[in-house]
Amino acid sequence: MENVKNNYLANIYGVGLRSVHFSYLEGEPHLFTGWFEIISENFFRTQGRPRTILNKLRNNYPISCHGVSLSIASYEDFDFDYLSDLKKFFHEIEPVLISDHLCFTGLRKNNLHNLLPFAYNEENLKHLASRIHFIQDYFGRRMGFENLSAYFDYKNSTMTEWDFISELLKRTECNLLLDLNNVYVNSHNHGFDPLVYLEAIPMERVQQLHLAGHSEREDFYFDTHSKPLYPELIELYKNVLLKNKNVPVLYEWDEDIPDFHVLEHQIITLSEIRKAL
Amino acid sequence: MNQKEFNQKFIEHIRRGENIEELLPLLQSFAKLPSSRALEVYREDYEARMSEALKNTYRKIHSVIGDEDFAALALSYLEHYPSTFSDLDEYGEKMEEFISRSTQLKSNFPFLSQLAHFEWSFRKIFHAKERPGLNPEELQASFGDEEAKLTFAPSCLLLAYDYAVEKIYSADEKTIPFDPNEQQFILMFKKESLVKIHLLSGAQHTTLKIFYTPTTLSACITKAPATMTPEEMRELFWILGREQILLKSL
Repeated sequence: MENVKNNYLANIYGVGLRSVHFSYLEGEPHLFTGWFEIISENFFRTQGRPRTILNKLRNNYPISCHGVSLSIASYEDFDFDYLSDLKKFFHEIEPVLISDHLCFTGLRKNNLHNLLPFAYNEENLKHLASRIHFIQDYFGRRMGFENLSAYFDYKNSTMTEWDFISELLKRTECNLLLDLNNVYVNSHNHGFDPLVYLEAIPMERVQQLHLAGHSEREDFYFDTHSKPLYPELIELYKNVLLKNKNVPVLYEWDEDIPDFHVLEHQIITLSEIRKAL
Repeated sequence: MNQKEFNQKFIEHIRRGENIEELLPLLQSFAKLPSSRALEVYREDYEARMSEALKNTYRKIHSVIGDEDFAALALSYLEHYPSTFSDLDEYGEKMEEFISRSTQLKSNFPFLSQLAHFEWSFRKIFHAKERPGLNPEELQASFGDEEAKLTFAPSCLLLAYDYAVEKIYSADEKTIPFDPNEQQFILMFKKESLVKIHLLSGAQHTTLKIFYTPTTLSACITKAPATMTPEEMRELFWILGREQILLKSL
């Protein structure tokens, strides 16, 4: 485990482990990527090929577990079967980071498998802080929570997204998984300056960055994780680098996933930007 | 309306388009993305995501019935069976039952519900834990041992169909260039991380079923149907040894 931790510090750039790349990775190619992020729910209950590959990779690469079904902003009880399986999985995989999203995903009897927004107000701040305290106690470790792409805001939001997140970080010990593409998509769709957002976020609490591409639909942007790096995203990344040069970075690609070397090209580009700065 | 009530109504909206008059006044509209369009975005995304998940599991059904009919099937399934799973990949377990209730699909594609059963079984074996059973020497050694009761390894299923489901599943073309009205008996199992299949005769299938209850090899041979030929028996034991699908019951 010590080697794993050292590797993690040695290369801050990672990619998502996706099934389309399993065959390539089984060939044990030489990789630039320093670590892999997995979607926890795609691996935690299978004993099939995904788990076999994960078990092999974790011998050589640190693993970050990123969840999509915790539904931290839900007003229902947690699903304890899910939590128990996830805790066991973390024990087996020994991830260097664990995370999920600042959202709710539906109801227990009706999971929409989508990341749904909530109002940024005191009611939800108290609610989320309490659930984050509980879940971090349950797992016995800190978690990171990712900011969303949200396609609407609520009229009863009493604060901005960045003020809500900053206050949540003050009230809990959790970290932020800062998705720069989500910041950019929201800034375009909701009409705010992304640099104001980044200025407000306490960068020392950012445990990891996500970068990805989005699609354009009509007048708005849609977060599809389906494109390469784009200039505005690179500018936001440079802005973060000025404040925290060592934050781990993941490039996400989930639709129309290209060959692994195209994915790695994104993080190689980012590492060159970091070196040049 | 508090967040808890909003969540309930928002989810009903995403699933069925309900509550729009109650939701819209609560949402902030933006020039580039009016709130009415934002609600549609969530509905469209939900349908696309869930349909895609079903398509991933039921690839052959999609290929047989085509895009349009599959989209209609997926939306109808979604209406009847919302997901209760944390992993989207687990969604779709009731497809066989759902298709068998659809008179139109049944009349156009009589084999479709059995194909759904086959594809779901494939998924189950794919995710199952692989535990190799007795090798040929161990199997040989358990002959005559009345204490050695054998049963199936966990990543192993016996399947029986009224249609040539495996042939349909394996066919490359969308059209089926053969008569699907052929009974099939199948042994599906996992070996070296791959899902594998052996086609069996009816008598071999009946004989293997005996191992669902822990049984000795000699009892299995005694209980085999009278129609079982010596060649079929030899082939069956060759499969059992080679594929290592039987375990000693503890």
